[in-house]
Amino acid sequence: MTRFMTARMMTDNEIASFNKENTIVVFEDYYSVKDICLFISEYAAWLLGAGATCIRLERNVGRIARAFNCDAIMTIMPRHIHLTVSNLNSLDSYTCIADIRTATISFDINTKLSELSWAVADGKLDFKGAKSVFSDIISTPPSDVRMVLALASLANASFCRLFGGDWAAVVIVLFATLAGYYLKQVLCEYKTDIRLVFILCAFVSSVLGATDALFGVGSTPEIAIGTSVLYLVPGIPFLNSFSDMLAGHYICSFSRFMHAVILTACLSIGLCGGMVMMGMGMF
Amino acid sequence: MIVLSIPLLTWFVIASAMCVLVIVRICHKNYCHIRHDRHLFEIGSEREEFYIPGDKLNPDDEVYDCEDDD
Repeated sequence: MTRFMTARMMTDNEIASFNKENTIVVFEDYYSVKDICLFISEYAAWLLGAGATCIRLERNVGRIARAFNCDAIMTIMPRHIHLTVSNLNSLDSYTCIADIRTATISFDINTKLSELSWAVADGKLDFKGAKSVFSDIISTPPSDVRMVLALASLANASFCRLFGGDWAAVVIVLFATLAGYYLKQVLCEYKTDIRLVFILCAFVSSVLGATDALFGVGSTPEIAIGTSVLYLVPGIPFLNSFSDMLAGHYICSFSRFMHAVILTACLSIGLCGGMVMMGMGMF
Repeated sequence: MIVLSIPLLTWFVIASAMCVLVIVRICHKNYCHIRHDRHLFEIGSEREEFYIPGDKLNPDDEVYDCEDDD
């Protein structure tokens, strides 16, 4: 006997009952708790890797699970997500552990993944459609590196002006950031350790930022050198750490805080090295 | 006269290293682009240089021998 079924979720008990009847079951679109769990774990790994906070992760994952008539409970660890999905209509449950995707922070992917969770919750996408859209989202190409380089440099130069730097300092900070950020992109392309990247980029930017003091171009050399490394400040990890702490995710909050502190320490080492080499007083 | 002190030397080394990095990467990128596109200069085969209209186009063909026409 052959039965064709439309898209729905089958419990393991239903499958067992079909097997007892010795029927051949052909499903057009079959998905089990295991499939849902694997999909949600992959989704969560990408969302956290894209820079989302734990509270956003919990909400989005819960939203998707409820749309598939399931309940999701997870433990968010610094490098892994431990997820259990259970069917609300039966005793079926599945647990899996997923590695967090260590991709660069992307607001684009972050936003699209949140939109996906709402599309699933509103019933606009079924399981197959959600998987298809998810595959499209994770293959989103990164932003244009030259555009990011130019905008980051302009933003840093603007910071210099906001902190009271003169126009000579603004131009110097612009070029110091261009050089440092370009070096960062090149080193990241070669998969260099991020701590070493921060030390080198801070050193290069601070040395070039000291042009003002070295050649006596402007009247605010200390602002130029101070703001030349601002693009390296790990703002998102610090903010996410604080958000996680407020949400009660202390382990994740602490790990993110430590990561941000280590990056800040590397930035400081590079900056101090640059200032020492350029003969500038630190205190 | 500019005296090369350590700060000045450091500045020149870093600035020149960054300039060299940028130039090398731009040249490398352009070279890779040209390699897959069109060569400005290239070494051609002897057949290409001495081609006369009427010669066989496929170089793998047997050598054309005029005596065969007789």
